[in-house]
Amino acid sequence: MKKTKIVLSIVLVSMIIIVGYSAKFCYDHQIFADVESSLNKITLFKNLSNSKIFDNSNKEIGELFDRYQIHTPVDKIPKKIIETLLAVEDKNFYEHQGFDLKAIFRVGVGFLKHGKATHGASTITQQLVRKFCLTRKKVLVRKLREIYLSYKLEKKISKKKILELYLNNMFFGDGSYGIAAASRRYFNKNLTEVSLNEISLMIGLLQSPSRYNPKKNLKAAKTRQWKVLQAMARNGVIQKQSMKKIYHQKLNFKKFNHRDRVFAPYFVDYIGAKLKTILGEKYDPSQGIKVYTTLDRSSQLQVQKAIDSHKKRIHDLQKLNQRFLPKKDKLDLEISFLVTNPKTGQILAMQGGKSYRKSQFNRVWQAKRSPGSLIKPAVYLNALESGMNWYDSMFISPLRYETYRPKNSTESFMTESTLMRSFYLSLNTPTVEITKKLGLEKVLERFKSLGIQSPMKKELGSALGGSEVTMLDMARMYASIANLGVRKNIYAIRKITNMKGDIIYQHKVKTSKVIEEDYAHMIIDGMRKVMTYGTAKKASGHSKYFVGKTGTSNNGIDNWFCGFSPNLLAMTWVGSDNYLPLQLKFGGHKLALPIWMDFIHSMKNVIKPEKYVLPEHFNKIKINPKHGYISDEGVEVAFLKGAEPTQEKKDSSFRSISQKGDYRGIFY
Amino acid sequence: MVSFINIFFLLVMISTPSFAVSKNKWTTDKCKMVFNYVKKPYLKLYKHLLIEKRKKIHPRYKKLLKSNKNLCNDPKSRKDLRLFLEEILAMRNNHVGLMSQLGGDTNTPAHNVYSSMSSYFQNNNPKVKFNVLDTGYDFSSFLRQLALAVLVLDVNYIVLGPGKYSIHQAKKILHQLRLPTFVLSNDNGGFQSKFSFQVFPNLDQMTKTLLIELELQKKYRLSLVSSRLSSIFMQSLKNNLKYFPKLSVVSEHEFNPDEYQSMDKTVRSLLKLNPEDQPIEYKKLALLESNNTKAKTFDAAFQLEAIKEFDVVVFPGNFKNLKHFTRTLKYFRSGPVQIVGSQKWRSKELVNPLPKILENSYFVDYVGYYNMLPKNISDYQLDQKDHSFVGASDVSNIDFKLIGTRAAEIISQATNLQSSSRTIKVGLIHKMSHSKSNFFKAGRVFSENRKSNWPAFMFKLTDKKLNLFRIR
Repeated sequence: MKKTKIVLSIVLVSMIIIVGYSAKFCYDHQIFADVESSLNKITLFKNLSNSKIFDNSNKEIGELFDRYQIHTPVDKIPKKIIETLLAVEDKNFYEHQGFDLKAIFRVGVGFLKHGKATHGASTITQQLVRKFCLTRKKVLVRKLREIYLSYKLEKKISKKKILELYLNNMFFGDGSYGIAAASRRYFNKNLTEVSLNEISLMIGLLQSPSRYNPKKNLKAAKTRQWKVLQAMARNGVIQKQSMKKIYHQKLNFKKFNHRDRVFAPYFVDYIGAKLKTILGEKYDPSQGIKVYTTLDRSSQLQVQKAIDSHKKRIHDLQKLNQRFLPKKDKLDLEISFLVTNPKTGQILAMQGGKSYRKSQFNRVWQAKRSPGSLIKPAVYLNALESGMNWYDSMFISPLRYETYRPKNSTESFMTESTLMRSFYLSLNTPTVEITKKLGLEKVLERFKSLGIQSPMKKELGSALGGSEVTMLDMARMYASIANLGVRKNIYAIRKITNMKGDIIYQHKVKTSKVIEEDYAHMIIDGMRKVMTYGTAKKASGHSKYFVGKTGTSNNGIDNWFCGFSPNLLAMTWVGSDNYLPLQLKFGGHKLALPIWMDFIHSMKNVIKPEKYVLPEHFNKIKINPKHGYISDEGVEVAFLKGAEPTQEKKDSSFRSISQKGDYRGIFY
Repeated sequence: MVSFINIFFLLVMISTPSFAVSKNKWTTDKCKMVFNYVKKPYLKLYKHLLIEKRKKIHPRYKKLLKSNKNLCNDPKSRKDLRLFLEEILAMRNNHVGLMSQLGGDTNTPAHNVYSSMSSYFQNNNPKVKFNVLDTGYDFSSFLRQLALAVLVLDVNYIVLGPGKYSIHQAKKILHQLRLPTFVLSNDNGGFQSKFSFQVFPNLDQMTKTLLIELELQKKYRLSLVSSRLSSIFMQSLKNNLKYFPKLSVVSEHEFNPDEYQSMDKTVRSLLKLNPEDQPIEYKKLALLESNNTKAKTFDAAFQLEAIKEFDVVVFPGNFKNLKHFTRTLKYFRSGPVQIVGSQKWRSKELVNPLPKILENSYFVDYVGYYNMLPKNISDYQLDQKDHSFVGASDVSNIDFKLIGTRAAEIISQATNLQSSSRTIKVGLIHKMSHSKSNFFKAGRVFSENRKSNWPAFMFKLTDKKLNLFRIR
């Protein structure tokens, strides 16, 4: 008896020592510390999902994400998936309280037998705790804490929630997080569409997503799948006899390229950038926000079609020009295109380059390029506002201001030209003279007020488009004119909702009057002449509804065209990213204009263009384009009543010269 | 064989009163010779006269055309014939015939001359019977109308209006007719007869006036810049340079007014901005250019300093070419350049605004302020504030109205000269002095070479204005 008491005492003391030692061990290693804050990472976890972007008819056009993830509530996850998961990873899931003692025991026995762990004993809860709260380091302390936290977690949230968190956040390889994302990326299927074959393969990946990645190592993946199928059969998820049949079913892997799934990738990138601006630090693409944009699917398709149809022509011109360049300069002509509705300010289509796959650089808003003559409407508008008239005649001669010597593209000197003719032929020297007359500061200020946000150089060359701007800058300026002086901020995002559907951002239309309507009509009239008599004469067929302006920077480095009607503005640019000159003089009218024309032609069936109607207080009078006097054979120009030219042809000395060869030439 | 000189003297004799006292010399041979010579042009005209008009020939000419040289054989008939020929060659009336290509348009130089002459005679000398004859555009048509004027209308003063008459074809018959003829054109077609007078702005006078001014202002070294459109002015200027030994032409440049490159070349050459003109400087700059990274925009010739070896540039081109010229000078950094020119400068377009380089430049014109013009011309609506300019179409109208008015003034004055002899009459006309006129102040009407002494006006350019500073 005494002996028994002694033994019991020893055991008791030993247990006290063990318990004490264990308690000390746990205390020292903080196994029970910060439980609440650790579990909060799981209990307070917000569901993650890719953000989705929709066009103006609310159809999805693309997604934004940091990691590819499609949140699916557990109720919507097919039962077979859950059953498979449990069969493989945690068959006692619904019975244990976070950890499975039997499984731990089995592992212990296996360890004693074989000297190593033959299989895992982690429950789904433990795996979840490990993913969110711990590291994957195999040490006793981590394991003890994992068990403890799992136990605690099961007290806090339901088994259902644990399953939902698990199936939506575990890594399945190939960049996909969650079973829905994996299903999309491996098989391009929704969860409701996946087969047992596919389910078994995907669940098998959980053990080691990289090692079993079927796209990289199908044999390993299939071996793993077989084990999954065995587990499924063991646990009654499938019948044993159907195992082989399922195993041998063909797996149709789909190549997943996110870009291919995006309808307008340049636009989607732009939206991503705009979201950062609008939401600031709150922006997280994995929060499953929904972004409703202004993109018009038909317009975008026509833009792409127009660019595609000109790729060969541009490529041929590129080859032709390459001959004139040093070998080190590789000419690669790019194209960008932007379509907006000036009435609303909405961006309808955006193409930042020839091919998104080849280059993701968005030339619509990321590239700063010289606009060339595309900026001239702002100068001439300023001139008209300052009291100059379309019929004012100027002598076109070479100019020099200190070291600056602007040239006309056609070298057409020794002639005269009205402001109107100088505008529609896009002559440089009169534009510089006008700027000089108006004052450079004033002109630059006007650029700014018309919507050009890029900083402009304080030099006369800026009036000829010497300062670099973005296509969006130009679109803002042109939209102000197109909307008869009422500037509506250009925008692409209508509204943003969170995952629950609450609106977190709604675009507010901001309007400001930047041009008097009469002057807008006058500059529009000038731009119509560009298309009927000037540098865009080629597009005269569209001049009934559209007006426009070409732009070419020095040596044809940048080639632009912008044309608009009251409800449609389209702008295109052609040039190289490395600013190489085009030795053959193509200009905006030969490179950019044909693309624009094709687009507009195809758009007639998509958006019915509206016409500009001159108010009644305007008079149309024909003037001689060189000298500005009234002439029946001249160019018809819209003038405000009371501000029409008064000089008849008989009063003009120029007229005498052009008729008789010389003025007062009686001594011939 | 009777020489042309002999006939001339005979004609002079019979058309002068002194001939009466030398009747002994009127031999049969001489009679025949003179008769043939006098009849010949009338016969030629008769052949060109329309058949229906032939009945209306003046009886005097009917008689002449019917007469035969054999009348000279009989002494009495010969005497009568002499008196008849005297009558044919006399100034008998104040009938004036304006020969002009009128056409359909009323706003032509010819119509302006016609209307101004008609108006002048109506208001100032109603005794003059003024006839206008549309000559059409070919020589036979001209002869037909001349026949009508002489044989039917019996005109004593012929006026050749502005236009292309082929005067060189008509000059022979006009001389044979021995009628005072007034050519209202700069080109008299070599019609140098003592019976011909040119009534037109006098280019020689203008260029001389300009040269006088240059000499006065000590602008001795001249560079001439012209185009084909001002070659006549330049030729006149060069011809007159011989009267101004102090003045010399240092360079001549011609440009094509339709081509910028030629103007560019002209100015480079004028300012010696060429590698050939400044080889050393050019080489230095070219070397700099080759080292310059912005070589594409570097133009060595452009960087040369302008060399001006002239005191003045004579630029008689029109205001438009002048503006391009001054702008090109500015482009090439010419600095101040004294430029002078011709009437072609006058235009509002030149002075509004006036290129700075032209401040105080001057030009010569044949019209002064428009409010100085004779009354019937200055009916135009002139800007009350500025009498320098009129509308462009009015410029041409006024010029030719002024010419027409001037011709009418001279003819009117000539009709008052008392002489029935054509030879004496033309002599008197040649020596005639200006009657009172606002425009034509004093001195003889015609110069020695029978060109009208037309005043030349010197204008100076200031901003938006022309300042008349000299009249010669």
